[in-house]
Amino acid sequence: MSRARGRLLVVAAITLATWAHVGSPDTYFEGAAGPYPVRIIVRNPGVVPGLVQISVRLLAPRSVQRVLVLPVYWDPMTAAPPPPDVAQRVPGDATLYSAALWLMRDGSYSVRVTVEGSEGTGVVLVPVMAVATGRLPLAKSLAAGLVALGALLLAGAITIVGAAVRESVLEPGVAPDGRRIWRARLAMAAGAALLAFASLGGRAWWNGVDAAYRSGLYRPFHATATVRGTGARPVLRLAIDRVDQSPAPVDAARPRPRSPDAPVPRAGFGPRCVCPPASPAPRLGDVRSRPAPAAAGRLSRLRRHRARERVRPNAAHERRRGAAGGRMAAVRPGRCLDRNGEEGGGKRED
Amino acid sequence: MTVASGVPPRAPTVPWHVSALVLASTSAVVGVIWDISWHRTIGRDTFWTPAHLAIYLGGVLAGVTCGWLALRTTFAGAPEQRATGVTFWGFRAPLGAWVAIWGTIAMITSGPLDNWWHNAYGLDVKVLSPPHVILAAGTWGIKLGALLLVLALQNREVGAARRVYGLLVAYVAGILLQDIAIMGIEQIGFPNSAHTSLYYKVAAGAFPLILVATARACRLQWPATSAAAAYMAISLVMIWVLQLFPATPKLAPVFNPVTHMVAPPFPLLLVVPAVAVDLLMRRAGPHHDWTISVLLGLAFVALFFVAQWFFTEFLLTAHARNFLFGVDQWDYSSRLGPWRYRFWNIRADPVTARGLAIAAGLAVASARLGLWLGNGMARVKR
Repeated sequence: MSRARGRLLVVAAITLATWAHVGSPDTYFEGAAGPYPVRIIVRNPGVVPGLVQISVRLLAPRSVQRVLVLPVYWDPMTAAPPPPDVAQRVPGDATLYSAALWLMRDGSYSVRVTVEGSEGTGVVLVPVMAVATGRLPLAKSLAAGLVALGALLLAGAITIVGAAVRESVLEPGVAPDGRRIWRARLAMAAGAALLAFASLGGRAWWNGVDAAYRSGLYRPFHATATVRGTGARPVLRLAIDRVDQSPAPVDAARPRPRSPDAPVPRAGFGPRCVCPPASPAPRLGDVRSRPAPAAAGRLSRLRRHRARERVRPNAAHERRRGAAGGRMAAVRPGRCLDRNGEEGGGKRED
Repeated sequence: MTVASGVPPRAPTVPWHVSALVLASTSAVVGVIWDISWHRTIGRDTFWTPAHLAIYLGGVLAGVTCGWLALRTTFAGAPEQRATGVTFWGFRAPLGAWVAIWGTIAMITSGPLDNWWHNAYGLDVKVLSPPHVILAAGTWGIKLGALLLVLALQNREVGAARRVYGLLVAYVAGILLQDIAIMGIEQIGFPNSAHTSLYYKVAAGAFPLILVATARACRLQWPATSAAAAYMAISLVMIWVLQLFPATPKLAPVFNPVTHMVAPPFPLLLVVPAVAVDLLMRRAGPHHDWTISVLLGLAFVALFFVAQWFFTEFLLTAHARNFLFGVDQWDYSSRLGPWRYRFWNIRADPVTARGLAIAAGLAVASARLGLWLGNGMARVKR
C-alpha cells in the first residue's frame, strides 16, 4: 500500500468515527463574562417575532447573585434598551440559569448576558440572528379538537338563525305556524351556505398567510469551492452563489444538535410555550432523508447582504472564543437532555 | 307596564342576567382597548395580563350567566319564563342567551388556535389574523347576545322600563361601534389617515349599519346619537385613564422610550352624522326604506367627511397634544419623525370625487342593511 493510499484510509476511518451537526438555528457560546466562565445557549424558536430560550451555565464555582439577559437589536437609532430580564436558576442545578426573551424583528441581535457575583460584574455579548427557519405543523389532536369546535360553532350558528326566524319575533307563548317553520328552514339553508362560503374564505386566507410566511423562511445558501492553479500556490475560491428556492418544509421541530445544556424551562413570564424537541435523533433522520433542493436561483442582493450579516457576527464569535480559550463539552451520541437539564438515559457529560 | 294611580312609580329593575351580560360586554371591550395599549407600550405580555383577563372575564361571565339561564329556563323555569325563550336542541332560553353562549365557545376555540398561530408564524403584529377574527366573532357574539336580550325586554315593556332598556340598547350599540373602530384601527384609527379615500370607504361601509339599525330598533328620542355618544364616552374614558399609568417598554428594539401607557387614538366624530341619521329616520318614519337608505348614506358620508377632514387637521396641530385629546402618542417601536404630524398616503390614495362616490355607495348599502337589521331587531320579543 502506498503512502498516499494509507493516508486516504486514515481520513476515511476518521469520518466514520466523527459526527457534526450542520444547519442549527441555535447559537452556542463558550467564553467569559468578566471573571465568570460561562456557556450560553440561545435557542431560536424558528419564528419571528418569537420567544428565544436562553440557558447560561457557570463553568466554574463562583458565588453569583444574579444573571441578567437583554436582547440588543443592531440599530444605531435604538433610543434605549428595555430593562434586562433576570434569569431564573434551574431547580436542582446551582450553575444553570434560564430565561426567555422575545426577538421582535428579523436581523442581527446580541444577547447581553450580565453576571453579578462576589467577584464583581461580568458582561458578555452573544451574537444572535433572528430568522424564521420553519413552520410548526398542526398536531393531529389539536386539529381534531379545532375541527370539533368549529363544527359545533357552525351547527350552533345555523340553529340560532333558525330559532331567530322561527320564534324570536313571536309574542311569548305563541307557537310558530307552518309558514314560519318553513321560513326558518330556508333561513337555515341560506345561513349554512353563507357560513360555508365564509369558511372557504377563511381557509383561503389561512393558506395565503401560510404561503407568504413560508416564502420568507430562511433558506440555506449554496456555496461553491474551486481550486485554481496548480503547483506550489493553488488558490482556493469559496463563493456563496445561490440560494435554495425549493418550497420550505413544514418543520415540526427544527433540527438541533445534542445540547450540552438543558433546553431551557420557561422563566415564568413566557406567554407561549415553545416546547423543546424531546429527542433530536428522529428529526436528524428527517433532515438527512429530505430530497435535494429541486431548484436553485441566483443569489439576490438581499441574500448577499444577509449572508454578510451572518458572517460578521460569526467571525466576532470565533474571535471571542479564541480569546477566551474555552471549550465545548461533548455529549455522547444517543443521549439527550430533558427540560430540567438532566440527560435522559445516562449521566451528564459536563 | 302600568302603574296604579296614587302609587309612586317604581324604578324598573333590570334582570341580573341582563346586567351581567352588559357588564361582560363592557369588560371585553375595555380589555381589548387595554390590550392594544399594552402591546403598544410594554410589548411583552402573557396570558395573565390584566387586559387579557378582562377580555376572558367577559367570555366567562357571559358563558356562565347564559348557560345557567338556559338550564334554569329549561328545567326549572316557570311557564311564562319558558314562553319567553326559543328552542335550541331541546333547550329553552332567550335568543340573546344562545348567541352569547355561541360567542363564548368561539372565544374558547380561538385560544388554542391563537397559541398555535403564534408558535407557527410568530407573534402577530397585525390586529387582523384568522384566530383574532374568531376571537372577535366570539366577543361580538357576547355583545350581540346582550343587545338581543335588552331588545327583547325593551320591545315587550312600556313606560319607564322601556326607556331604561332603550338606554342599554344604545350603550351596547356604542360598544359595537367601538369594536368596528378597533378592527379598523389600521385604516381609520389614526387622524393621519383621514385624508385618504380608504379612510372614508371603510368608515362608510361599516358605521351606518350599526347607527341605522340602532335608530330603527331603539326606543329613544335620539338612538343613533346616544350610541355614538356611548362610543365616544368609552373611548375618552380609556384615553384619560390609560395615560395616567406609568409603564415602560420591555421588548427590544425600543425606538420610542414611552413612560406611560399609550392612549388609543381620539375617537371619530360619529356623533355628527348620527344626529342626521336620527333626524332623517324620525322624519321618514317606518316606510320608504330604499329611499331613506339613499338619503342616510349620502348624509353620513357628507357629514362624516366634513367633520373628520377638518377635525383631524386640528388633531395634528400642537393644540391637540395634551391630556384631553391624548394624540401624538406612539408605540415604543416607532421611529419618531415628522411623519407624526403629516397626513399619510395622500399621494397614493388621495380623496377624489370617485373615491367619495364609492364611499357613498358603500354607505347607502350599509344603511340599507342597517334598516333591514333594525326592522328585525325592532320585532324581537324573546
